[in-house]
Amino acid sequence: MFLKSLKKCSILLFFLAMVVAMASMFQLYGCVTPGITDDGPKRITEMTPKEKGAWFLGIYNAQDKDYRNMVIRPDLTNDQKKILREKKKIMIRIYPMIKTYNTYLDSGAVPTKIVEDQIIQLINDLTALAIPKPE
Amino acid sequence: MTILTGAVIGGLIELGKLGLQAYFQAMRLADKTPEEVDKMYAEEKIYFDGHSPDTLPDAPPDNPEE
Repeated sequence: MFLKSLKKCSILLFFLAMVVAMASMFQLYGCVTPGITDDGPKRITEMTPKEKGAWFLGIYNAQDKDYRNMVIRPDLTNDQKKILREKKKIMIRIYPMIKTYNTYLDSGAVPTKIVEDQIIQLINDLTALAIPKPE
Repeated sequence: MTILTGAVIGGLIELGKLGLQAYFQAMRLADKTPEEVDKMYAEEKIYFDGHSPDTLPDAPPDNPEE
């Protein structure tokens, strides 16, 4: 009985966490009413190139650490392994783009919008990767 | 509950993780001075430069019993 209610509770918490996470993504990409983030994190469109550079690096590094922690787990399911393989492919594609973006920043130049858009597109691909595709 | 297959749960967890990572990274930038952003950028860049994706290990082969 107790275990059943605990299970129900954890499922509810899980969905709540997902809703919060998705809302934060939408908020960051500027999909909500302007002004709502006055006291919260900056939107991408409001960030300076250097802030964007730090944000890209932070997300990539967090994904890198997460991947390295996940891949050594002995209890991975086949579904998780599939996600990790796809994630690695995207990380291989995104790495040189972030490096190019950094090169612009380090030389004092303003990175091109094309490079910026490509990186954001690949971050979106990482998000899309999370949505299971039909077999 | 039958709709919660392993793939759906795994996908939702990944989505949640990425969303939270993006959110927390942006939170770290909130109210930072340009000097603090420079410092944060430099710290993240050191890790980034030392961890090329070529060094990422491959996921282990699938379990045929699953």
